[in-house]
Amino acid sequence: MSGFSRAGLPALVFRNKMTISTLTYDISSLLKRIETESLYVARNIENQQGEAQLDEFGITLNDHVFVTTIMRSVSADVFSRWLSPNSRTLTEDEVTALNQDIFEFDKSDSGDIKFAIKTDSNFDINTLPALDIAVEDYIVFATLYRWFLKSGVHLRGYRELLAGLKSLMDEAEGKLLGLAARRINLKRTYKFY
Amino acid sequence: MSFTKVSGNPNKIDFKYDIFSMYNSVSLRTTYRANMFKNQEGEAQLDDVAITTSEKDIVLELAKQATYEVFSELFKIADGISGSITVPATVTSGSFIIGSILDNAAFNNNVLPAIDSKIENCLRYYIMSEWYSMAGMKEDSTESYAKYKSNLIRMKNLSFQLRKPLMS
Repeated sequence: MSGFSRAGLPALVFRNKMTISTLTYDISSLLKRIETESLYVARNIENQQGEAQLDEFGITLNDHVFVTTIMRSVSADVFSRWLSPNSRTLTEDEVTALNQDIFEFDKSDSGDIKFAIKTDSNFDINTLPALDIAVEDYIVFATLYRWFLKSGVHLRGYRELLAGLKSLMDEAEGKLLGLAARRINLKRTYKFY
Repeated sequence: MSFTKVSGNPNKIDFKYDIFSMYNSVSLRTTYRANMFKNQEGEAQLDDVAITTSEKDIVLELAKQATYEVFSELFKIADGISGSITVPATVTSGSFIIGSILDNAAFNNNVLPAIDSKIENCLRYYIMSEWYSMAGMKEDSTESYAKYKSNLIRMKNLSFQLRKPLMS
């Protein structure tokens, strides 16, 4: 579903040198996860006759265009709020060499979401796999939260459900914030004259 | 009643119902009901209440209405299938009502016969409800409609399995 890669040599060799990492997410796989999660939630929203509200709240192929639009806006949030500080120092040459934009969202079904970040010398490179998952979780839960909000689930008396989704989103946001901002202390050298 | 998985672009599942069998079923049921429905002289109202060969045209009309009512509940998983609903032009054996939905291949196979049976019940009870309504038998119509709704709800709840995408 997602994956990160470092431009250049393997991480261990270049551990203490500046390099660039990219986080890539396949949109169709993300949509499948979001669809499935929405259906599991919708299955428990029943009307007075006991009918699960799958049509109203479950995401299917029909809703892909709309959900992709939400996902696009959520991805832009991820970039602007948490990842962009790590991309700020990328030079034009580095971006050209990368052969992609710092943030990309290809809306087609087989498209990808891509983020490029500078994993400089004090970036804790061991956190990249966790950051990768945190970004994915945030995109999924924030998209679901906005979907259920726009679908009006709270107007049917399911405020707690919406609050639950909000807390999942907040939890993913907390992890994302922590991991994106995490730095290691560099070894200091002192010169005595 | 039956269902078939059809490979193609997109892959789909066809639910098929022989309209002549459907006609026989509602005819049998309404005949039994008519036998119990007597006027003051004790005469069973077979002519007025039972569906017989003379009513084939109205059965066809109601079957068409029922098919769209039931399968429209599954439209969200029929996206991309052209002509997802077929209704035959005559009530003859070997002519089928067909409703198609996408095959997401992420369901427990045991759920298909259950959904198939619920769809058949929905079609049958919808036709009977409308028929009794036309015959002025409000209570029977309401009862058949309640059965239709109950089967429809159970069918929709089971359709959760068919809506899930296949996650690799």
